[in-house]
Amino acid sequence: MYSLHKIYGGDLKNQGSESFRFTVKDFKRVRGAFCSGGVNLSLNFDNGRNVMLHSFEFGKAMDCPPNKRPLIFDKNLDMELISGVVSGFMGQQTSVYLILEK
Amino acid sequence: MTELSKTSFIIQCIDKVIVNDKVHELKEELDKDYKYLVGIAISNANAGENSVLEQVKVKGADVLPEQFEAANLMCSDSVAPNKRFFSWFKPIQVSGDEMIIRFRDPDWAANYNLQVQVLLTNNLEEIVNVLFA
Repeated sequence: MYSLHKIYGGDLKNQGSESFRFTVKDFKRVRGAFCSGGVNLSLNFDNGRNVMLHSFEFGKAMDCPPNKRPLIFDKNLDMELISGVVSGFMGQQTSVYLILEK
Repeated sequence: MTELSKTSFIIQCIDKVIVNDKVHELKEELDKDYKYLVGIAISNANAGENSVLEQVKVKGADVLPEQFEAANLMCSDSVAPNKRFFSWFKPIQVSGDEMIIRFRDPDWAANYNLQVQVLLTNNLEEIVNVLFA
């Protein structure tokens, strides 16, 4: 079964761009990611060696079913550091979520 | 493929009138005849797109992360009614437990009725197939 984790949350500062790091423990796979609508997301796995997303734009997508909005993939994890950058406009309230599986 | 009409489920609706931009608490006991909470949706007829679910809890445990954007649970009327639920969380085992939702709409301008729709089921495997089909 899936578990939802917020790996970044806050107001975008630094000219509308913030970096984040998150260490995954106790989960074996990541099944997807999503973030607030209207921002771009970069996401790196394997301690920065594997770029999964580079400035991927997440739209608001209100015509899309909520379960279909996350970017779905399947990646094995092993005590991994996940890092990334989220960018939008200055002061924008933004969150980034990972869907993890044990 | 399993069809929603052939599975055992109920959609429980929790309503609250939102009267200002402060936090509103919605509390309701979930239907005791159903064992799992598997989906949540918000009727977007009135709620602002910057609304936030400060907390969603059952039995004291978080169903969703704190400060979860309500827009993730909202969609337009063009989405089929049985596809309007968000289910990317661990199904919660329930038995008539109380659900507590703390909601805030920072863009509130006039009173409106907020409706949170909760999808409950007894058949976890079948409903999951429907939700993610």
